[in-house]
Amino acid sequence: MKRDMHFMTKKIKFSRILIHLFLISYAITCLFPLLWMISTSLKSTSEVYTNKSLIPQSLNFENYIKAWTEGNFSIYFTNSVIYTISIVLGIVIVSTLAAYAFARLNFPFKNIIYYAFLMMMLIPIPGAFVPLYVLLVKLGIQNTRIGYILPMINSGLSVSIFILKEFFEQIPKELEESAVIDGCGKFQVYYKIMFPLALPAISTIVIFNALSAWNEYILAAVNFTDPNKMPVQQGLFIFQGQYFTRYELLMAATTITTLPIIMIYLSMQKYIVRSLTGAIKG
Amino acid sequence: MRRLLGKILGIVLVLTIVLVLSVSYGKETVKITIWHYLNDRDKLLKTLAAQYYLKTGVRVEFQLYSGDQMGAKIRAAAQARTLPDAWTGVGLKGDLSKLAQAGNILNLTPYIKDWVSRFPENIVAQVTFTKDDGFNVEPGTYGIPLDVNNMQFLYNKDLFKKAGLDPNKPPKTWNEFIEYGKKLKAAGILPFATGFGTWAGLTMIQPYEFAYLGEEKLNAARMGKITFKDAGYVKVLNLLVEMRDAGMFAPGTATMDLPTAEQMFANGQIAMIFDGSWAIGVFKMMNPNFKNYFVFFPPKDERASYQALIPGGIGAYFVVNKDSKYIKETIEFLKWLTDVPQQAKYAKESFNLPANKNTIDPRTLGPQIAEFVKGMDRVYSYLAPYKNPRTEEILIKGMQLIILGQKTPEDVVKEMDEANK
Repeated sequence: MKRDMHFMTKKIKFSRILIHLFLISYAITCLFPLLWMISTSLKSTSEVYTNKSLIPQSLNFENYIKAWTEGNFSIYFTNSVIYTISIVLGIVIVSTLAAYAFARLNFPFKNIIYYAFLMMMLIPIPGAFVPLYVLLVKLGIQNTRIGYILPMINSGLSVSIFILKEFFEQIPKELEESAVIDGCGKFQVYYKIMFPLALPAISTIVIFNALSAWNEYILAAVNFTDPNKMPVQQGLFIFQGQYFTRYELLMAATTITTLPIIMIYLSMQKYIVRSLTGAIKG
Repeated sequence: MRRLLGKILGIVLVLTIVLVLSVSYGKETVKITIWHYLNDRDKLLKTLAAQYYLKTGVRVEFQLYSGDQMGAKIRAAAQARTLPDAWTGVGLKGDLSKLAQAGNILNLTPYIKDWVSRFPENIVAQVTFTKDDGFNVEPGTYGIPLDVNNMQFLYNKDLFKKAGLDPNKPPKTWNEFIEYGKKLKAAGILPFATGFGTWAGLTMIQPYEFAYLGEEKLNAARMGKITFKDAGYVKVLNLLVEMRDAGMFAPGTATMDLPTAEQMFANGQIAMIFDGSWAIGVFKMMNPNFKNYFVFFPPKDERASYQALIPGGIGAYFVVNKDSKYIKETIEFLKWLTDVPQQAKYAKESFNLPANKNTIDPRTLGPQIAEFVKGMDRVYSYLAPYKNPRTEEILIKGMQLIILGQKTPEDVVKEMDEANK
């Protein structure tokens, strides 16, 4: 018996080592591009091609200053912050309200409207930008910030509504009923009970939509003709010449653009884990 | 009397001021918008535009977008009819024909007929449609070339000198080329590298494809009408064997990409490279102190019967919006931009070959660019596609294996013929 127990413990230990080895190698695979990016951002132009090591021969921090100034980041970065906040805020407000309605309210053609929203998931923005652009021109909002923000909110809605509706449906109805007994109206139930409870799902939506809004550039390039309205991704391609890419500056610029997203993710990871593991049940 | 005269003069003065103000107020300011993707030349184009404004009063605004975005932006703007006055063309005849068929771009023939001769004919042909070319477009020229390019050999003068070679006498024949390689090797210098891991390796052997097979046989073989074996392609690949046996390839050349070879050349680690005219700008970016190098045309192989022709063609070019409010002004600007003084400035500062064939003065262009310009007359105008596109892959891999000594030219030619059936 004791021998069996010892064998079992050994087996468990071995499987744990295997799992950890797998996780460590996976983590290295994920981290390597980041390390390469940071390492390259600190190298000189000639070192990029000659020194394959991750450790630069000298630390060229001035690459960051050059990337910031040559890439016009003070303009593009501010624009991207404005766009990302507006888009994410718009998506959170509209999708929580819509998802709550789909999950809890009864109204005619509810399912048809819901599935129509879901169908939008099948149409990515790059596939629709030509008719979208024509529409923006006809509405007279082409080359305006609102003409960029509104389609971006629209593109993030379907997935967000889908995630939130599933989440709202898992919340016990008794919580709502108690709130109604305490005198809450439908909107009060939404923002005093449902919205705070949905924070884990909302943080998932925030991170995913912030990521796509921050990284978006095709619609921006199609919509804007005024360079002062362009987002941060515009600053990146400045370092990619027709025949020669300045990798050290490109990587410094990429590091700068990656930082806000990493910060958002780190500040919200607790909620994201809770939402993925389904924290509210019963 | 004096008071009356004063009054009259005062009235005349006031009337003159009112007249001048009303005329200048009523005069519309011309502003031309041009989209482009030449991010390394954005500042230069804007400087030239500012110069043009001072000269003519016409404002030209260059707007920069990435090459990836340009195609999408043009498609969307074409649908909404919000295209700019002009833009840099993306792609060649295939893409151009779609825009021409949709009525988005202007047939420039009547507007440029008096000055189109400033560009080499083979370059203009790349943006010109003819009656029977199968593109179904109204015959005419639809693009104005800004720059051109071609590919030749470059060598490091200091390393030639170190190996006891005359730095002002690059090899003229294939035998000399091999001998030079041996001497460099003997002096402990890596003789040669180029991007054999990519498309660049193919371009190195192209001059000798033309030299050994001739244009007719080469295109017939590529289209699968005759076999590569019968066309004599083994002789072309044998040149790689000769280079390998002379120890000319730097370690890693078989799988090297072009930027790595360029960095080695710019760092003085290899003596020769096969590269495009654009490499002059690349070397400057990689190592601003590296200047003592020069260009030479692919050395003549005495065994070959035909003339060697090099890869190259049109670089950037402009197309004009058919619906532009300022067609005349836009074409006037493009005419000015491609005139000799502006082309010389453009070439000198951007390290691109000028499209205007009269821009040849080495004092204004720099010696390397001027030498590349000379090669524009020997750029091939047509290369047929392979019957089976996989043949190109087989050739690239085959060349790599020949360099590594793992395959013979006969093996590679046999595989190419099997694929291209």
